[in-house]
Amino acid sequence: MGEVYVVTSGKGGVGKTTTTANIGAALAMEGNSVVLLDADIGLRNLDVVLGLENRIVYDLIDVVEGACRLKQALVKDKRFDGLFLLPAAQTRDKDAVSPKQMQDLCNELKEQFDYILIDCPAGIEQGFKNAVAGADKAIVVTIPEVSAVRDADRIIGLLASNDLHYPELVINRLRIDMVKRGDMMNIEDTMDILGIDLLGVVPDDENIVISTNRGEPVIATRNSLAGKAFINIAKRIQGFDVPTMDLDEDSSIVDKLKRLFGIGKK
Amino acid sequence: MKENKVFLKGILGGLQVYIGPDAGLESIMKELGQKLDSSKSFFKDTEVNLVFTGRELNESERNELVGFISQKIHVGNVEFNIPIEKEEAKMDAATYSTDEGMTKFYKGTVRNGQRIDYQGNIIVMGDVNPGAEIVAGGNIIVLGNLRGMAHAGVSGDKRAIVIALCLQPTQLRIGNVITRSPEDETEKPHYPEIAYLKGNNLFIEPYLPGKIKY
Repeated sequence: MGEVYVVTSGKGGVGKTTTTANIGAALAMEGNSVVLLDADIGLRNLDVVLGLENRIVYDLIDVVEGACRLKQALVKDKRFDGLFLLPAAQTRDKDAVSPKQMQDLCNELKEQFDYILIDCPAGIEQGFKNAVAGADKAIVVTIPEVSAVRDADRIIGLLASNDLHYPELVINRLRIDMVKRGDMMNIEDTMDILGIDLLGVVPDDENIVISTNRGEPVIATRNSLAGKAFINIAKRIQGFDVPTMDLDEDSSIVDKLKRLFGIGKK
Repeated sequence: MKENKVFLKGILGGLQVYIGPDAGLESIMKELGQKLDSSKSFFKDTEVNLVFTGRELNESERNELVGFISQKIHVGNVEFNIPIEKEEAKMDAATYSTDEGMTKFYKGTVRNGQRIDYQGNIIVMGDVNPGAEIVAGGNIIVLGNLRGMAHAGVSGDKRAIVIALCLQPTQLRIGNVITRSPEDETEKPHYPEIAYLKGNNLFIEPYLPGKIKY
């Protein structure tokens, strides 16, 4: 019996889709069977991020309306065995599916897969209600900005009213240099307001933009800090105790040496 | 919106029937009929005492109403015209007092978009986050960070106070006085603080046990 996670944030543009794709890919890399379910009907992106757009034949709406069998709509990933995508419909809207239908769909998927990750649309309306309806657990993605944290707080409240009481937090796009200068909210500030468990911190990484445009998960990129962070998150989801990584790894060797001799600014 | 002419409220051993101020007998019976029909099975086989409040009813209205209700449920004792004003005044004293009375305990974080509204005092055992609203007829005490909006003494009680372990509200209101935190707020306080009104000015001071003079 698999577990259904919904990846949500309230605010748009904080990296829900990227997070879903990469955690899913990392879980599949470790040998799990994973399905990524794009609940953003009408504004689908997950297929593009995974580079599977041209392989879609049927979508989620076709499945719930009975136009095809579930198996026919699942798109197999081209890189990772065990990773599948259930794409959203692009030409319909959020009212084309009901929370009850999503629940039934999730229950069906749970029997066949270890992990089901739902990519939730931004906002708190029908799309959100659909996406959380079938979920067992929730992952809240935020970035260290006041407005995103505000929305994450709202979402945590709404998740609680949907019986998802202990969501876990992913802080995305953290810029350690800005935090050091005091120009960005740090992890403690964010945790202080939201008060939920931290699942992982993903540093801002230009590899994300590069790999997203290429249509492949960043975990496939070697030496990417963000990729490593996502792999760690996937391990924590599987129940392994992974220490938080040193986000400062990317500073240059000269900086590290300077710090070693105590002449660089910490 | 349809205005309700009749309210039913369960009381010990029966029902309190509140009749709206200018409700006609016909509309009363119609609404009462619907309400009783929907809960018919609940009242089955039990004797229900009736207490009428609200608008005063004359003799013929009384008889007709009781007769009507008797067709639906088994009626026991009937009492008329407990004046509603008296009852409300009693409620006032109990709930609006800033010294004693009804208190709501909220356990957990009040998050953005949530609102706690209560006639009496409110105690939050958790944080109040930005975007959350706490509105109380009496005092507000937050055993955590108060970062959202708090309005104590909402019905105009100027004696109401707000205490928080860490008082950093986006806005603080007591009675009809509205204040906001200074824009250049730098350090957050590391000790409990109390907010109270003196005249029309809102003061914030460190909360010192036993030194309350407001």
